[in-house]
Amino acid sequence: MRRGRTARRRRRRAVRTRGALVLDAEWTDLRDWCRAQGMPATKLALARFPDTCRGMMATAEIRAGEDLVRVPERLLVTASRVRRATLARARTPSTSAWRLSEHQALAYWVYAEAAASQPSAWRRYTRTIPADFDSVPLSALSGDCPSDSLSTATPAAQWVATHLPRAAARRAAEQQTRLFDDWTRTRAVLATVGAAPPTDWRRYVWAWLAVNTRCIHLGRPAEGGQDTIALAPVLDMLNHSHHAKIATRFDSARGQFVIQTLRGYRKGEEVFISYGPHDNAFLLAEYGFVSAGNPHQALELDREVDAWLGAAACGGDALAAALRRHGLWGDFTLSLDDPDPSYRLQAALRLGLAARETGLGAGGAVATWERWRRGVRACDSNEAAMAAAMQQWIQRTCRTVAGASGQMVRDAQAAAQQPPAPGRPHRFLAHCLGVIWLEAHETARRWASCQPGDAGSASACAGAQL
Amino acid sequence: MPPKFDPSAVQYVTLRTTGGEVGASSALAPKLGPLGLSPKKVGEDIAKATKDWKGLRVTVQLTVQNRQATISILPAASSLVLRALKEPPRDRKKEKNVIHNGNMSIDDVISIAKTMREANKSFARKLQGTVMEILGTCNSVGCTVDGEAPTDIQDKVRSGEIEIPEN
Repeated sequence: MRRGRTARRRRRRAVRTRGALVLDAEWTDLRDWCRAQGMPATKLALARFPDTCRGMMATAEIRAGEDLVRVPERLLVTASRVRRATLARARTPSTSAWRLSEHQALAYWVYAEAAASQPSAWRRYTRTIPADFDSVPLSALSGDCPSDSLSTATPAAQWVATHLPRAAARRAAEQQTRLFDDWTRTRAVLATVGAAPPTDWRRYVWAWLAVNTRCIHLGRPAEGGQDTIALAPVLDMLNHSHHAKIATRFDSARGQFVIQTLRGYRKGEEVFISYGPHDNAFLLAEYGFVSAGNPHQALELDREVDAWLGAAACGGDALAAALRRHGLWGDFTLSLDDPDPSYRLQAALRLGLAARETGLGAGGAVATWERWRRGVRACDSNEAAMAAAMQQWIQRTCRTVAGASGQMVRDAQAAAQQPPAPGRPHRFLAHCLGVIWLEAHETARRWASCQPGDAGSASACAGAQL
Repeated sequence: MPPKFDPSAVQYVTLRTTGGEVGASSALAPKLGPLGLSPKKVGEDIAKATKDWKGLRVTVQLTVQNRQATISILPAASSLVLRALKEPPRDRKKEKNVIHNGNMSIDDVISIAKTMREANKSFARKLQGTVMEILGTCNSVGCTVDGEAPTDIQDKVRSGEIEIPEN
């Protein structure tokens, strides 16, 4: 039967197009330019989605195993390309003085391209980089002038600093140190090379974050054997999802970076890639978003354990040293799906409890603990008492944590509702923080409500709670 | 670290365990504890994943991503040979010093050789070379191939009496 216009319309409507196509000049220019530079056609189009904002939509059905996107080598911005271009422009080129890390070189490139009075062909790419990275905590905390420690001068920064989960705050502090390091280093090197050094701190922060949130691992040393990371146009529009399954490789025969999807997408769906197996604190600190229902999420109790072990009557330092010796210090976590506390948390708790109860002193406690670690079975009554004590500790701690995180959830959700104004935290950042704190709160509540001795039924408790 | 698709975000742990059994968590703990994995849970998962290899020694690879492990079984010549012998599963604790005096066909050997080549575990140029390797494993296991000693089969392959396909 011949089908007419109405049938075509019906069919088109039946496909749920969830994104609204973006067809502004910035994007179409970039797409056409990339195609002219030899990027093979893709089944992807830029679109706006209700949840993820700007992302890539499948324009046709994509089967599992297909290549999502191929970026030719000439469109990859790598450190060696930046070096060549900068030294060619410099007044007194000296290759030996060029001592910049890859991240530093790329950040400088973004900075210089965006600030250049005479736009180069790459302007088409730098124009599509977001104008701000306000949802990355570092953006609010980096301050208005160069410094190697986080700044909380403005009310918005103050709010972010107090509401940031500890893992994210630690990461942000590390980032700030690196950022300041990169800034001083880049300025020093470029002055000796004879090129214009960056002068505007805020713009440098923006360029640095652009590289931090958008660069990719090439997975192979490129020509010259040095480059491991790169900026790639078009590819960096793809959003992250922990459901995505992808494989990346460098196709050296054709000189293209390839992303292959291992699951299919229907026409009109948003296409995702996976940035890596990261938890939400990492995602927020490095990329400025969170992924709801992240399977890598866990409640971290490092500070609680640290304080508790430190308060032990006999040498908390000796206990911590014992844990460190076996690589078990830090990263003490509880998870929502796992019926048991993580092995590291169990190890720390067993050691701490042994030190408290036996009265043998740190040395005796470590010896008892070593036996457990090697799998020597303790007698059952001891084991049951230990399990009950651990459960008690977890419940007590989680009750405190749940109370504190509940307050954070309320704060963050209230901030996410408020209209944007100067002095207020960025709304999407507040929303992300709300998601992280809510997950922490739920995990803590679940662990706080489990009865001693039935670690196995923890998931049943969770089911009743949610 | 920040760049997307960081290969160092994924770690691999390779273990050799008895299939279908929950190993002692004390053996797993030193390897898995520092990676944030629970030895007990992983041990149970390994036992589940190796059900088809009951009672045989198998090589297991754990792909560890941010405190979560996925389990895959790496083909190993001796495990594949033992499985091809189709011996009844036995209790490792009750029977000691097991003698594998079974028999298998040369076709089994060739299919094992193909599996090993696919997994990039053999560096032989041709399939024949891999078949010779597998026959060597048969010899060390103690079984016979088509009713003859594996070394005799090796001689026949070498002299061309038994033809091995190109691939």
